[in-house]
Amino acid sequence: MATEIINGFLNALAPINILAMILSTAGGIIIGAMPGLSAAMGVALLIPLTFGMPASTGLIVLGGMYCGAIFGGSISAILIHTPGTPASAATAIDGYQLTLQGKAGKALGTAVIASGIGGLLSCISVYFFAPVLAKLAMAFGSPEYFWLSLFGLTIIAGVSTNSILKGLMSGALGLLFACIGMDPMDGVMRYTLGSASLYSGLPFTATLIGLFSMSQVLILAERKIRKQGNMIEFDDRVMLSRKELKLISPTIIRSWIIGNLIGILPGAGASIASFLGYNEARQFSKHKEDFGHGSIEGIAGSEAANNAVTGGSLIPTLTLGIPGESVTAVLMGGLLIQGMQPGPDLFNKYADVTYTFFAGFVLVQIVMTALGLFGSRWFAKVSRLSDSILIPAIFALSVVGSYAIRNNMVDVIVMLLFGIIGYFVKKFDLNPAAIVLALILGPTGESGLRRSLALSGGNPMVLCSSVVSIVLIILCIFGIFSPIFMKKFEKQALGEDAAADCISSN
Amino acid sequence: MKKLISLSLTTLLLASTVACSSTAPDNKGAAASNPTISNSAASSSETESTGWKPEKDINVVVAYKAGSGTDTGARILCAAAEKYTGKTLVVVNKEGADGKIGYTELANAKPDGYTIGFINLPTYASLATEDNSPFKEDSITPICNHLAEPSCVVVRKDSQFNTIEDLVKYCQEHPNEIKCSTNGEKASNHIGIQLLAKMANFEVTNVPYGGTADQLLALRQGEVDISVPKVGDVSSLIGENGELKMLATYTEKRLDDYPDVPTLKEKGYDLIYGSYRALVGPKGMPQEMVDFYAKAFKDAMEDPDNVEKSKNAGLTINYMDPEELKTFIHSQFDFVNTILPDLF
Amino acid sequence: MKKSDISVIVVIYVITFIFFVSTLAFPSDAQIYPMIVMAILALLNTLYLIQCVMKFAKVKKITNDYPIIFASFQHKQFFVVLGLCILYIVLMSILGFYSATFLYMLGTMAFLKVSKKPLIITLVCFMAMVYATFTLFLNVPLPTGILM
Repeated sequence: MATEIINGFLNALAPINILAMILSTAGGIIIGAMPGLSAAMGVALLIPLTFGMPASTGLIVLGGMYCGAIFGGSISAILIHTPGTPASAATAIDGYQLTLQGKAGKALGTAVIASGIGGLLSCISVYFFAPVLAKLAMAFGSPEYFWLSLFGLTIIAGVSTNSILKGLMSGALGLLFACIGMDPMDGVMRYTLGSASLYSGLPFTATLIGLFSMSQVLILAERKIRKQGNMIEFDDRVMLSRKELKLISPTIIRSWIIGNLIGILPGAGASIASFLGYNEARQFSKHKEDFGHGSIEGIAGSEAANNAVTGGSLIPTLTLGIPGESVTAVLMGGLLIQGMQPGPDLFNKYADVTYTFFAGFVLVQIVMTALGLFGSRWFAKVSRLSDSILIPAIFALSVVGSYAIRNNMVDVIVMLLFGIIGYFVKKFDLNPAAIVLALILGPTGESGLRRSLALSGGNPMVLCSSVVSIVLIILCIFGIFSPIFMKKFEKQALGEDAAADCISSN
Repeated sequence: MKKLISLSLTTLLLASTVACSSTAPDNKGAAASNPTISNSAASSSETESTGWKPEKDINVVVAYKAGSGTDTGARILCAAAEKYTGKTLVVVNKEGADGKIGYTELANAKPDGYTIGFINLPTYASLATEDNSPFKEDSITPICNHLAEPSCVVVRKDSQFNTIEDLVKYCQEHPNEIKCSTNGEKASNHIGIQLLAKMANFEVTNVPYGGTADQLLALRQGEVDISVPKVGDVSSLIGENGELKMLATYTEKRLDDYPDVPTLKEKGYDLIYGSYRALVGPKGMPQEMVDFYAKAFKDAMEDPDNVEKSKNAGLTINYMDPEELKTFIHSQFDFVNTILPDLF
Repeated sequence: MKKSDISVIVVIYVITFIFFVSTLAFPSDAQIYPMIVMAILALLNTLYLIQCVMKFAKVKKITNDYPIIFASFQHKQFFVVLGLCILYIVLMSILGFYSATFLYMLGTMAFLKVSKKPLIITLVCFMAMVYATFTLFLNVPLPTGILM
């Protein structure tokens, strides 16, 4: 295998592959940065272009687009509070706060480094642990997805910076909105107001754009226009200091593992990973109060996780033919068209193509980091634009983005409505991130629960009958109670410190 | 300020003329435009005797999202067909409502030869027969058929069932015990299993999943016992290294790729069923445009490069010319109207 | 207890009620899950109500926090911007994407008092960027409106 790995790298370093990497990653970053254009769309549109290319080059192109787009989403999330792809929804929370403080460059730098390292580390799992981890993909059935969704929903408590009750209410509201559309089991149309466009439910990306960016436009519009350069002039550098790098290292490692595992699970993708990564970063942070107000740990937690998904999602896709994420489903189509079936053949008959692709994937992370660091200096300048320019620009981009997904004007109207809803949500201190989380996880949870019951003929015991289910149930309980424990823990620690201070100062 | 306004208006006028001519046509024209007028307009601009040829890019409406099975098949064919149409075929994804949105768009488009699209059968027929459906059997002009995906019955390799007779017998003796995964409530693969269930007089528990990929995953994981997907969807999972085995196919004759798998017909269940993907245009499309596309796509389907790519992707090409397709579409509507209502 | 709390509680109850009424039309099997979600939402909302009432019992005062929430709310600016946004979407169906976007951005920036040079630069750059990405590179069709 060592020879194959080395050969893979030698092939990947061929000039045509390097060119492919740079162009596709750059293209991916741009597509990711534009709200409404998703990684899956970018990859799907590139597939016909890869027909004339040698298989490994074609795959590298698709890989570059994939990773670039997942990183690219963070750019607009940070600069204009609009996640470029759903995977960066959690990054917008703290990223935009940093922009407001004049530190857009630092936020972008954090995102680049976290994304690059997360993606790079996830390649390790592809090389060495693929067969073992692939088994994980097979172990997740309907009951397990139900508990996974529930676990994801417990994050809401963590993502709520103020009132937990209001956070939970936002989540429940999101769950209710997630019911719009066709009932997954009976085919009944729920709350679709007769519109065929709502049959599959609220268009997720358009709703996300409305809740985050358009509401932002309205918030900018309600107060005095901030003129150019009127923001606090900080020494804004893209590259992080040694201290900062040390601060975010444990977060990156943690988020890498989270993202890598989520990537392996079919049906759970980068958006869920980014929220989980963000939440766990907060749980374990010594600076919890910074979260929601511009914490680089938060950005690192979210971005490392969503890029770690890329490597992880390749595992079940290539070994079992089960897409680990929506983008890899498209990638698999690209594989099939080239004549390569997922499975052992990829590692025997087509080993040279596969290992070249893996090597390319590794190099793509490096290219992405380089492009990101280089470009961030320029991207950050966007944040210095006056509000009066940002308002129409963000809105116009939101409109284009919402339309471009399905070529449907109804999506634009949904975006508008949720923009207004989002404005009120923000003003009245409810939690838009919780709504988004519920919109993502609600359908998975509902189908998981109802399918489990349909399969067992109504017997609820089916929900605790596997090891994985039990593990997830424990995680859920942990997820609900740990914020409470953590608070008690801190009070105790603070109490001890205060006592120690008293003693030492006497 | 006045100068600014006049400058903007001029720019606007220029910009809109540029934009209008350069963006591909996104037509929501009146449903029935006069066919004779557009016919003569088209032929008057063509003096060659070879007939109509497109002069600008063509929109190909795909009613499913980018990366889906239908979309991938469409893109493969369009990539090959560009050689024969001479102009770019722009795939436009108009997804939603299981195809309804895209089909409505297609039916309402102007029949000027620059908008065509793919429909899935019998899905198009079942959607068209719903109350208040914005499109009907005659809302589209058949051009040619592209793919035929017959259905098959699959189980896991380690399943207790080795033949279709075993399975049917067991199902007859144990009603509702066997679990079958489908790609959605009343979707194509649900119809597939119910056709057999009704004919052989048994009942299984059908559990809908979000699509074929999820349906097959459930089978592979052991959540369900059987499934009735299309042959193309399982081609990579059958065989020596495969996890599944095929018990029967819903075809007239045994398939070349699976000579050991019996057809349901030979076992006494005369069921021919599957999904078809056809290329159509809006209602009222002139015959010479139809003929042009039928020929262009036929050449594309026979193009060796396309043949290879399609084979790799597990697609079974099945060309039908406009007349054959018209008859076939009609038979699908018959199927939906007569057999479907009693199936569930 | 704040006035804004009252508003939130009332609105959530109303939304729950609207969904509830729609749900009654579903077949009984399909009603179960949405009803559970609505029950959770109503329960949480009621807990919140209780929390607020308890605070009220302590302080015996309803603070009007609207002035704080909407401090320095620029009425005219906000509603004109919102109005232009809605107008933009309507125009897009009539005039098509490029014309409507051009008019919208011009109008909004002019209203927000952007000076000539940055206005024109932004307009040109933005339109060019959108054209290059969506039409040239991705071939994604944008609305062309009824007039075209």
